[in-house]
Amino acid sequence: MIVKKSTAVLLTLLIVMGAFLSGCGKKEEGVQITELTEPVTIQVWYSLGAKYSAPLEVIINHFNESQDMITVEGVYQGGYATTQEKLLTAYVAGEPPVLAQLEQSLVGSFVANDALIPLDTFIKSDKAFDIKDFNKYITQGATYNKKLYGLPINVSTPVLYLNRDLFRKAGLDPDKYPTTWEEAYDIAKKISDLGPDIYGLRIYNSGWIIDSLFHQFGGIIFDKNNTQCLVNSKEIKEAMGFWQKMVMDGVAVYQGGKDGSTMDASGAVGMVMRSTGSIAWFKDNVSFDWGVAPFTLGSTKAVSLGGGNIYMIKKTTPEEQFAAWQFLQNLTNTENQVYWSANTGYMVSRKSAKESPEIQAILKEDPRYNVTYDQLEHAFARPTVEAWPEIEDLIQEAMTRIILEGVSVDILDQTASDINELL
Amino acid sequence: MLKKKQLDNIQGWFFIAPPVVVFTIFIFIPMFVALFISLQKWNLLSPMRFVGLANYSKMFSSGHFWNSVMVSLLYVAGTVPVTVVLGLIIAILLNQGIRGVSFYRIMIYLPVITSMAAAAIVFQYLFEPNIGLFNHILSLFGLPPMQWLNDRHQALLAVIIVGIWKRVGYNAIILLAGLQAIPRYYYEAATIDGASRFQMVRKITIPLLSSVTFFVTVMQIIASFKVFTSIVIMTEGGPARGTDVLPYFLYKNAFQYHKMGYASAAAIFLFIIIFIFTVLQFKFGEKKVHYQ
Repeated sequence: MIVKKSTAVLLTLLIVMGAFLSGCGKKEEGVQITELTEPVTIQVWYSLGAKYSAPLEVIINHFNESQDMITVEGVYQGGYATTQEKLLTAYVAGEPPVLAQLEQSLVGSFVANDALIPLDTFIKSDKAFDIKDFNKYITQGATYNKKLYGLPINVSTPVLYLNRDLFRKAGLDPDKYPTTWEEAYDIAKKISDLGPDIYGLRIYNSGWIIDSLFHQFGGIIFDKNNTQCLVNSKEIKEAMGFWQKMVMDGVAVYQGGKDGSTMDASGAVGMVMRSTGSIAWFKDNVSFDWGVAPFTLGSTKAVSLGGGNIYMIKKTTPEEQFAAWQFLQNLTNTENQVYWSANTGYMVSRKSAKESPEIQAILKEDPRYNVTYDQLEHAFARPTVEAWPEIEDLIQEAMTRIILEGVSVDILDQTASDINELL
Repeated sequence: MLKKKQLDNIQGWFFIAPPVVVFTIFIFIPMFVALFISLQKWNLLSPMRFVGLANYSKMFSSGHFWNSVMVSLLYVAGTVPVTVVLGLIIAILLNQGIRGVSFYRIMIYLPVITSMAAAAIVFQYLFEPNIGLFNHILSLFGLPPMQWLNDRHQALLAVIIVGIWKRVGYNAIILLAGLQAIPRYYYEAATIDGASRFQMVRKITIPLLSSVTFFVTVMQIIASFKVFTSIVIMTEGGPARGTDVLPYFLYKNAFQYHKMGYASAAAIFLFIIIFIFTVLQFKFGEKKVHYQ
């Protein structure tokens, strides 16, 4: 009886594992087709909720109505990390969507494991599509091993948002924004002197913000080939030490997440670096007079490229891929980029879109939109190391201990050796 | 023609089929699969590679893993005694013939049926250091403000408070049921003998309730080891791993770092802990019945 039972368990297990593993088997990577013979429905997964999804859905509906062979379904999957998690699960199960938006730093594992389809062949065979019209600083964020894997959707760089009312209260000229970290410190000091609950600068440990900070102090997280972690370099220790001092001196507050946004909206913060795309958020949530300044404060002028690109996923059929390219091309054409940018504050990536009368009118009317384009020449692409999510956590953890607990920056030696084990 | 007994048997199988099927699919199979994966190196995307016990040895030599074990133990130590003792006090109070008792019972039980996700978001606002309610209350008593979720040590206290709030009602209701099963005449006899209220609680209620208390304690320990939702929403294991309980540790390793083998090893470890307590409950829970 017992033997029977355990055999049954074993058999069940084998069947399940079998089903499981066959699901992992790759679908034949079909040859590229040039025409659809029957209608096809494809999904695009995206990670921008709230007011950012509305303009995207408009573009999708418009595309669906413009022809009758392809139906695109936009599916909101939650934040960047959640979308990446779900995509991974769907990919392993063998049923991924053909298009998905991924955040700049979360692409590493997909590239390393060959789960994405390079777009170069589509671009080459499509005469109407001119990749040269795209800003090269932006497309470098989706280029790995010299191949282009994605097209930009919500591209941004971090810019410095200023509470101009607090500048005035502190006797500062709101048009004189800081251009170096020393100036930023002085301005933040004057603003924080206004009261115990007022801070000159809000800092936090988002990966792309700290990467910008490190670059600005001349530090980089990895060496050229991503084989060694350099977070314990003199430059990065100096950068961390500088932020630590700002918080210890009470001129900056270390607060991320929802509470951070709440602080920004409440007017308790003089300066904060956030995404270009937050322009739309500030317009909706903030009642004080606010401005935007470049976030190129270091001795090295550098800002990291943020936001996401849309990628084409393997384990899908040639029909789906063909349809996906048609949609991708439509989504990133000049007209739709203008529409998307005007409604969100994110950057357009095509030169023709930037020069369009609509965008030019917006830039003229509200120069705050200009800042991100001006600093784009200093943009660098984020590292695409497979273990990035864990590495980012390790760096953030060290940062929290240094800044909040006043621990010496030398703990970064330990962090670097922990990270080296993951590379 | 089937005999009645055989017919009964077949019927019986049908009756137990749904739970057996559900358990097999959602509990037993995943359990064995987890055990299997814990012996592999697997990042979801590339094929599995058998590595034997390497995940376990890596886990036992990892400072982050032991940190999570420690945090989980602290969480258990922080929630279990308070929820059980508080639950008992509330149960005794609810067992009195006070007016509107069903209203109080509902209020006490309300947190149990409230969605943890929704409650955690509300608590985030309550714990906010600058404008949050809790710091406001502290200031009314002239106490200095706390950093709550922003501080590595206080964050654990904050999630423990939420854990207590969430579970105390459940324990109170179970203990209340236990109280009502104690025959009234014990108390009547004690009253005639001139026992005080406190003496009755100490000499009658607590001993006769011991089996229920034991059950509640074990269930509470298991629930505390499995705490997850409040951590995900309120702290994400932070700051600096201060609230990185075991379930969150393994979730992170599995779905954010894609170390399925390593995470499964941690899951097996957690499973063993919970299994031990379950066995304890089965072995001793039944025997401790004093009355009847």
